[in-house]
Amino acid sequence: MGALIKKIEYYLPEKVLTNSQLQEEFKDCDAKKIEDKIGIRQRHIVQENETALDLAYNASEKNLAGYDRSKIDFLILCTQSPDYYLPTSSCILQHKLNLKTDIGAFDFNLGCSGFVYGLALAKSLLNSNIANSILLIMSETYSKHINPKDKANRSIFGDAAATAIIEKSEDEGVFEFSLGTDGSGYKNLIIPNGGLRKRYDINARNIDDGQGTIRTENDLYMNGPEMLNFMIESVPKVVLNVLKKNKTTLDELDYVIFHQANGYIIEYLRKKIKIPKDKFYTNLLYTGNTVSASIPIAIKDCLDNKIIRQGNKILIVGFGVGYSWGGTIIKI
Amino acid sequence: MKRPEFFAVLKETLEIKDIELNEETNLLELIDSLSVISLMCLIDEKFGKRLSADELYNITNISRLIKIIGEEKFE
Repeated sequence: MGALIKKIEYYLPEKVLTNSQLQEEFKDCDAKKIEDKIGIRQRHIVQENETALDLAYNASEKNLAGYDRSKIDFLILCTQSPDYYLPTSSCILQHKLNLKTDIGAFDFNLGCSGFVYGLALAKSLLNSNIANSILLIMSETYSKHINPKDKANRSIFGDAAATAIIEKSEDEGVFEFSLGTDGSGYKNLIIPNGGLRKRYDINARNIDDGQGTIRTENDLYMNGPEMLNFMIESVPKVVLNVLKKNKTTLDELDYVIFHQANGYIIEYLRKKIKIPKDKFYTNLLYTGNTVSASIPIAIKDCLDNKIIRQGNKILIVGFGVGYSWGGTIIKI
Repeated sequence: MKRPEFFAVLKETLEIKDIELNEETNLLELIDSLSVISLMCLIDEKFGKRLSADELYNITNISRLIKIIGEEKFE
């Protein structure tokens, strides 16, 4: 028995933040340079009263349209933007989506590696006969964590939700995984305050990095150079490990989709790993970096635009906050 | 790589116009955070050296950058 990704859908919030809007806000911001350099022209962001749970609901409803929702017997939600500490968002989502109650549901907290980990969890649940049809959801709203005066992170991240329905199948559609974790880098992408280690501080002072970014410890912080070093170190290795575990080569695969972190960086990684350009997807133009949703969004866009087709074998790699990373091969 | 070649590659990659680079040039004053990514990728690609954030923000001039990369790589 295997696991097969049956359907993918995604939902973007209606509100759009363009580079031109950023340029109006920040006098040293160059809209064209952002697009030329990191491949982002705009990103969608949630309204004040809109949360990752809402995005997850909308994406799930899209995916469940035309699908017998009574078949769903497990719901897994990946988010770092939960509505509450407790209860877990997936429980609320089960009710909102009108799914049956004799199903499993849980959230897991990962960022850009989330889709790959979600697939690993889904495959395990299917293979162990715990579930037959899983709704996997990645929903993220980093815009809520970013200081309004943080030009750099507001340029990069967009909000989105993506969902995949993964079913038990005669054919295998999710192959061997290579997963990785290195918590030594936890401080390089972090929201320092607001958890139980350091509570949200209403008097948190402004921190100016001197490069147009102002934040407080209540906000998302990203050490860009160290995150880049992590990617340069880990991504080539995970690609190699996935190929080795699956006893295959890049030549034998139809396509490669990385987490859409930043156009410049993933293009650099592509060249470093020597992945042919015509087998590699880069598209952050209208969405920015949507964290755990970026890989399924890319898969869906590739399918819609006939860049990939049913039956293609695709290497996917996610990497980011944690540090956490993972890769696998899927057959769509 | 010889120093003049390095200066030329820096100028091209970092899209620095109208300024001639030399060892005393303060590179970080000429580039923004978007170009910092290009600088780091360039140093990794050409020299196999990953600049830590501390090293990066202590590059007072190109001479300092050359020292961090390793002067022997420029002979």
